[in-house]
Amino acid sequence: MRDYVTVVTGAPRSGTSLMMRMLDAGGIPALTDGHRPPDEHNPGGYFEYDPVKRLAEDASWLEAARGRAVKVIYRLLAHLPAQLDYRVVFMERDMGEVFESQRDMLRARGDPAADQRGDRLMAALAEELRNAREWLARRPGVRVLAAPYGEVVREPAAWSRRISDFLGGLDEAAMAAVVDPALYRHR
Amino acid sequence: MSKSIKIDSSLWRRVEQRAKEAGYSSAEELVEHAVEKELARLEDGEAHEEIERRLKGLGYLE
Repeated sequence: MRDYVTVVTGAPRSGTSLMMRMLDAGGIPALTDGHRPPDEHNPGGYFEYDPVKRLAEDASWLEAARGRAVKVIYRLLAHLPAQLDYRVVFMERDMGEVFESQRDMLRARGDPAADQRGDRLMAALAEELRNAREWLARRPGVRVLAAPYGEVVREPAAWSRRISDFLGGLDEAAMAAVVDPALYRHR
Repeated sequence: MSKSIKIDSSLWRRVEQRAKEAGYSSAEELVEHAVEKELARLEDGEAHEEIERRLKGLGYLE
């Protein structure tokens, strides 16, 4: 039994759902409520847990997340309670791809943020992600594995092995089997 | 293209004094540097607010 919480983080549209799916297949059950159903942007499912959005106000549920995997947007990492240990899989993806994918999703939702200009925001987002990584590195009880989305999709077996090593042994074949390169649409 | 702006004379004296002490080639150079720095700070803040709107729009923040 893993006594730590496995956290999957990164920018939205950086492959966090794919990683959740891989971990779930590999033997770390995903903590998810299924509120957001699969759609054309994420046919494999979002693997989200609504209380994560209120982590700043209430983190009491995290105790029960030991031994499970939970998706936490990078902006909320600072609210993870210090009394727990975490293994963090930090998804990385080309910032242009992230923005393009986010733009398509925002457009589909009719959100005006889809029309935001990219260059300045990409730099600011990259800075926020860098700060989040640096904060994690300083935090006791946290171990981090950076997982580049493009490489995970291109080499699922090799990355399943690496992630399995990081998390103390998983079903690597099952993890690799859920990676569908056809879903890497913005590249 | 350059523009002229009015600045309070006592403030300008302070600018001239500090520009000299800090090694600026002119008081104008110090003013340009200060304005650029403040604009970058404001624009940076706006960018982070826009990212927050984006994350809310994507359903990741409340």
